[in-house]
Amino acid sequence: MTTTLDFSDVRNWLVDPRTDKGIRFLGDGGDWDYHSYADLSLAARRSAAAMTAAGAQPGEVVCLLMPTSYPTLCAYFGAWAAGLTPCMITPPSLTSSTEYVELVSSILRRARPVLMITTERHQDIADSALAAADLPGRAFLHREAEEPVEVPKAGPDDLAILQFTSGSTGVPRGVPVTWQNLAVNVSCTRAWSDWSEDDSVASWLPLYHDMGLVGTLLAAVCSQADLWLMQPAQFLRDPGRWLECMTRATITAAPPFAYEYAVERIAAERIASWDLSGWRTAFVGAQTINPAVLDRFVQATAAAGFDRGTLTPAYGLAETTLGVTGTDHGAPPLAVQVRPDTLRFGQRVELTRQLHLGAEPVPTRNGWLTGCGGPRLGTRISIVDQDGVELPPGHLGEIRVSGETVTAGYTNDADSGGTRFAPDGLHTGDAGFLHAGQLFVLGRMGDSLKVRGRNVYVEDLEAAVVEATGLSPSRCVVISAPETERAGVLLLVEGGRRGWEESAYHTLRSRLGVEPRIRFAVGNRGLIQRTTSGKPRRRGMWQRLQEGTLKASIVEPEVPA
Amino acid sequence: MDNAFDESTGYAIIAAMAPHPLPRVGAETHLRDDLMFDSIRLIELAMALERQFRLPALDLNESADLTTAGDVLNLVRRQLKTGGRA
Repeated sequence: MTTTLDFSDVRNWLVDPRTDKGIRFLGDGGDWDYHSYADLSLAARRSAAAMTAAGAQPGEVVCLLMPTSYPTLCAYFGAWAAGLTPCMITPPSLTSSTEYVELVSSILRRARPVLMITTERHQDIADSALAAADLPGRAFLHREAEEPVEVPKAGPDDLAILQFTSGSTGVPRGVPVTWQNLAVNVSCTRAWSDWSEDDSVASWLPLYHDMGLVGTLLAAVCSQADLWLMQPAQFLRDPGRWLECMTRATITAAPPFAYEYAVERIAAERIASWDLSGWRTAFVGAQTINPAVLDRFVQATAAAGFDRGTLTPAYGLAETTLGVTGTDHGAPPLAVQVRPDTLRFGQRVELTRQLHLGAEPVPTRNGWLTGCGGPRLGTRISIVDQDGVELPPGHLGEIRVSGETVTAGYTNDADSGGTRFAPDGLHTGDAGFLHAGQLFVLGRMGDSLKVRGRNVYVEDLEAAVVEATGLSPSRCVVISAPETERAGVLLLVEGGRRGWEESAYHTLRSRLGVEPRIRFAVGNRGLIQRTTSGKPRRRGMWQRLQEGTLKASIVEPEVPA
Repeated sequence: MDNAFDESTGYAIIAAMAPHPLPRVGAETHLRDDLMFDSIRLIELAMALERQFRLPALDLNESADLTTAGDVLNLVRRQLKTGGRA
C-alpha cells in the first residue's frame, strides 16, 4: 500500500534525516562513495549558511552549473535549506563558449538568480553569462559555512524548484514547480512503482533533465530511499554499471534509447551473471517508445530473471512537474499496430493488432505504438480537438492534462511554442489517443520533436536551413511529422528543387541525429499555409500531410555521398 | 609507453567514429554540424582515442569550445604531453 506525500513530507527529511539510508556516488575508479541523508542534510544546511552569508534571501532563485556529484546535491538541497529555489543549468556540450554564454544568459535573464553556483571548472563561463545577462556579481563557488542554518517553514504554494525546458533559440522556458506540485508528482511516481519502504533507486540521468531530477533524484530523496547515482558519461562508457545497480536497487528510469544501448553493448554472459529478478520498476519515457526496443530488452535480460512486467512506459513533461501517465505496476506493456493512414487529427484511429509484450516478437517497423498507461491520484487526461472539445476514446487529438501536478505556467510570459496553459488544463501540443484505458502518444504536432529525450524546435531547424541553403524564409518551413516508432520532419519549399537539397538534408540531419525521418515537400506558391500575421500554420499542414491532401511532391532524400 | 602522436591517425579515428563520415576531416571540421556527433557518439570517440593513444579518460563532454576535430586533437596532444596527468 503506497502512501501519498504531502507538501511538508517532501522536505521534512532536511529536519528529520535518516542515518541508515543514503546516496551512493560512482567514483572514477568504480568504487561507490556513500553519504547518509543525515550527512546530506547537515552539509545542505551548512551550504545554505554560505548562500545566506553571500546575500541570498528566502524566496529567491539560485542557478547551479555543476555535474552530478555529492557537492552538487549539497548545494541543490542547500538552496532548499535556505528557503531558496534551485535551478539546474545544462552544461556546455559541442558548443562554442559564445553560443553557450548566449544560451545561459537567456536562462539567467528569466530566472533572475541571486546566485549562480558553480565550481572552478566553469567559473569563467558562468561569470561571462552573468555579465551577458546584465546581472551583478560573480559566480559563487560552492562552499559550506561552519554553522548550519535552521530550515525555515514553507507553504504549499511556495516554489520548490525551477525547471527550464529547451525552447527555440534564445527562448528557454522556465517552469516554476511548487511544493504541492512536487508532492503530488512524487506521490504519482510512488503509486506507479507500488512504492514500499524497501524500495531503492538507481539513476545515471542528467540532473538538468526533468526525468533525472524529478523522476529519480527527487523521488528518492523526498522518500529518503537508498539511491545509486552515476554521471551520464559513466553510463555511456559502461552501461553495465547501470544494470548492475539493478541487482540491488529496485527502481530506475531512462529513455528507451538507453535500454537499447545497454543490451547492445553488454556481453550476454555478463548479463546472465546478474540476478535482475528483484528489479521492480523500469520507467521508460522522454521519447517515443518503440515496443520492439522494449521487446529486445526483455529477450536480452531474460537469462538474468528480468520480469517484463517491470517495464513501465510513462508519459510526462516539465510543465506537469514530470509524470502524467504510467502503466499499472507489474503489468507487461501493451503494444498496438495502427493503420498509419488513419492517424488523422480528430478521427478514429484503426488498430490492426494488439499484443502484450513478451507474448510474441514485435516487428521493428510497421506502425506499432506502446501504451503509456494512465494517470494516478488527482491527475486527469483527455484528448481534445483543435477547439478544445473532448474526443471519444480511440480518436487522435491533442493530449490535455489537468490536476495538481500541472504547474502554474511559464516564468516571465515566455513564448510557449505549441504547449499552452489554459483554464481547462495544459494543452500539451502532443498528439495521442486513448485505447484500453491507456494513453498512446504519437508525439509533437508540428512545432517540435524529441530526439533522445531532448526537444528540438522546428524554428531552429528552419533558421539553420535558411542559413545553409540561402532559401528565402518566406518560401520554406519545417514541421514536425511524427511516425509511430520514430520522430520525423518535413521541409516544405515553395518553388523548385534547385540544388538546396543536399545542404538542407545535411543541416537537418546534423541537428536531428541518425534516427528521425527527413522528407521534403516541394510545391507551388500557396503550399505553405500562414496566419494573417504571417506565422506558419504547422499543425494544419501536418494534418494535410496525414490526410494526403498536401499539394506537393513529397520526396525522401538519400544520404548524400 | 609510446607517446608518439600521429595527427593523421587522430583524424582517421574521428572520421571513423563520426555518425556522418566525411572523406576529408581536418582541424576545422565541425564535430556537430559537419560530422553529426552528439554527446553519446562523443563518448565513443573519446574511448577510441584513449585506446589508440593509451590515455586516461578524456573529458570531451561538458566542455565549451570543444567543437572541431582540431580541438579534440589539441586535447589529446595536451594529455600526451603531461603523460595523461592533465
